[in-house]
Amino acid sequence: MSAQPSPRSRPGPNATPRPGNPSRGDGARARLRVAPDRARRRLRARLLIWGAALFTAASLFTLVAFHVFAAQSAFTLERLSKEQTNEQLRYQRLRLAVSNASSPSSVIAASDAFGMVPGSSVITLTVPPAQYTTAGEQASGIATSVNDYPTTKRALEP
Amino acid sequence: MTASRPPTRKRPPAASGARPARRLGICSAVIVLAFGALAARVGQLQIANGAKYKKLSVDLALHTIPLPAERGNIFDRDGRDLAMSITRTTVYADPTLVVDPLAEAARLAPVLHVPQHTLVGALADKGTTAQPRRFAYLAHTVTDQVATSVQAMRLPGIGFMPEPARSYPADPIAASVVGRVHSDGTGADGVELLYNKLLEGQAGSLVVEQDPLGHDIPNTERTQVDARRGTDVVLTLDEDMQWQTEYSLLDQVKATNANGGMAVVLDVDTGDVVAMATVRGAKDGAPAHVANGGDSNTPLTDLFEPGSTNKLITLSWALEHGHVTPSTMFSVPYSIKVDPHVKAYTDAEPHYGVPNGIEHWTTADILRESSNVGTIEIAQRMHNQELADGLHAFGLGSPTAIDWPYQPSGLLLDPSQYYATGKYSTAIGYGVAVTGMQMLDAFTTIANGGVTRPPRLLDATIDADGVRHPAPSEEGKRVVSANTAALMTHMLEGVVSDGTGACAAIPSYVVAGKTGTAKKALPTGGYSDAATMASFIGFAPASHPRFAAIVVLDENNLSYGGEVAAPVFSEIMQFALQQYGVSPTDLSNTQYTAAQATAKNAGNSCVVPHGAALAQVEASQAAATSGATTGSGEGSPGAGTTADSLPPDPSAHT
Repeated sequence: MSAQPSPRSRPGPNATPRPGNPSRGDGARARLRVAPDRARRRLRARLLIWGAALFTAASLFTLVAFHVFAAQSAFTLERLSKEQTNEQLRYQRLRLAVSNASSPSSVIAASDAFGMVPGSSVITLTVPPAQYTTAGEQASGIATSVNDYPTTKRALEP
Repeated sequence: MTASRPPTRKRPPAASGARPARRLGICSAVIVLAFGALAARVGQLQIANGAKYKKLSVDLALHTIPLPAERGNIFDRDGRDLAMSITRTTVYADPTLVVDPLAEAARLAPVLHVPQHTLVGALADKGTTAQPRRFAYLAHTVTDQVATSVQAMRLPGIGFMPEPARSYPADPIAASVVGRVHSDGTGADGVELLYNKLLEGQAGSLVVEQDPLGHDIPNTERTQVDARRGTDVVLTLDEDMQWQTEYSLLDQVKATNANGGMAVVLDVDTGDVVAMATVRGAKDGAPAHVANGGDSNTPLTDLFEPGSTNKLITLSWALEHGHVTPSTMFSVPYSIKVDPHVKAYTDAEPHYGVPNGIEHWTTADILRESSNVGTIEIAQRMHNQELADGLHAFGLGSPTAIDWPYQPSGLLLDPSQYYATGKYSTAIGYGVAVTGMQMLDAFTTIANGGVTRPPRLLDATIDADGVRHPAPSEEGKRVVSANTAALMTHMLEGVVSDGTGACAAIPSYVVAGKTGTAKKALPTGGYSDAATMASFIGFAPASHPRFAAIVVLDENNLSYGGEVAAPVFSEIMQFALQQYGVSPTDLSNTQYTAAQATAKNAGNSCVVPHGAALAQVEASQAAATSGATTGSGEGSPGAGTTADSLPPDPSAHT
């Protein structure tokens, strides 16, 4: 039984050059390499696809997560902005309330409700000039004489 | 040995050897054509019509939201709010969403205080199919209670939005000075109008991308130009002084049944107007009241003939130019005829009770007794032009230093038109029209030692950054010498001690001043014998004047300034001196005692009957606490607003 040559065996020296490969002369040798087997190719392709899919999924997840985070931040910003507005409104109203309550009309009305009436006349108090002691006794110039008190007290009484 | 070709895998039979190449070519061509078409379309969109579509996109997505600037506040000299802006809630409707206009109007009317038929009209008008009506105002800037009540109803098609509203916490104090704003927030009159440019600030804007429903698109570009808050305005008014001035005047207007009154108190040291009041008399069933916002600020806008208070100018000028001294003697009859063709001038009462009685008075006596005839005799010593120069020098015929809208210059006769009586009428305060502020300026000049003290109403401005900018003060100019001013002051003291102005006296202080009683001109010509403009102008303490004040009452009857205006002056001035801690200058009450005796002899009680003002305060407080007020734009005071709950969510739309 004659052994059949392997289809991948190199052609012999006398082999006729293949049509369509005219550049190769007799001395040229085709540069061929062993192709990986199908299983390995499939594995590589599968890995590539999975990798691409994972990358895409991760990218999408990151994008969505970022968007969610940004939207959440926007909501927080909006909430804080609304709180700020409310606090400003509260401040305005408190200020208005204080102004209303401290206006002369309100004060007069409140004092009237308490039964207060304006004084009929104003009494002007005149305090007699203090008696200065000698410089040695009292350098500050404030009256200290006990005798001044009754005089001053009388002046203070209407 | 023939090498046989090893058997290979059979390829599927092809229809023809050129088919794969053709298929490939067709596919390629389709792809190229498809992409080419896409590229052409992209080119058309981006290059050929790019600008158009870009504009469409921007118009659809970008929205510019105006950011209104907060209007500046108006303060009194102590920083108390006279006017402030707060955000209130405006109720509107989207008629296309309203289901039952009649029912909704019936529920809203009693809460919003808007007539039911008005609401029905607003709610039922849905527009046309082509142009549906999506917005209608129901009530502007309602109180928080009202807004909360309406929101609680949860009526379909009713919405709320924030809108700035102007509040006047001390209302009606100084209302005619502060003024009011229009419904769009711009100044309508008073200080609100005068300083509108300062107060209104600068509006900003927010450019934001929004979806068709009006929601902001997150993570898109936002361009915001912040609004710049308006500048605060600090007036020279003192809220307490203003209240005292207004209500003393109001009580006297009510007591004398006057048409109205005006009063101004001015700080002689600085020219600051610390109080400026206008009171309206009872009319058409409405009681007398302090002028509201929108009413004219009469001390700066209304003209009147000053009457005897103008004698200050005549006598000052005569003294200044050496025509008289305080002790120059005059024989003063009851009447004097300056031209045979015109009616004689007379004094208020016959001298010694008889028509031909003649008094022998000095210049000081003439002023003290407010003698028309005596003043005319003094004016006879002056040239026409000389008197006219004196009036101009004291500021008559020119607006005052206060920059006020529609402030008149007053009316003065030209000396060439004095003819037979013009000079004499002018000398005693007739034939000349002035504002209250102009006359007060003349007295302030004497109080200030003969140098004018230009009045001012604006104390300072406070910009949006909180920096205070004091308002500049104008320099005064000398009108008469210090000696003339001192002589006039001494003569004016006599008017209060022993003359017509006795009721202006104040315990513990010496007052200088002059009464004025001018008969009112009739529209048909001539003067009324029954109606007068009664006034008193003066300053205190006379030795070192701190305050000058004018009180004018527009009377329906024959009332004298010394009777009705002087007591009001006394009250106001006493309050001012005590409020500002001015030391007493007459502890022995020499002038006050003498004035009391003079007033008693003349039968004057010198009392302002009180009670009316307090009743008005109570009434306004009762109205404020009822909480029924709803600001509806122009002229709506903020009285009665309280620090209650926050307004409803402005974006809420039930």
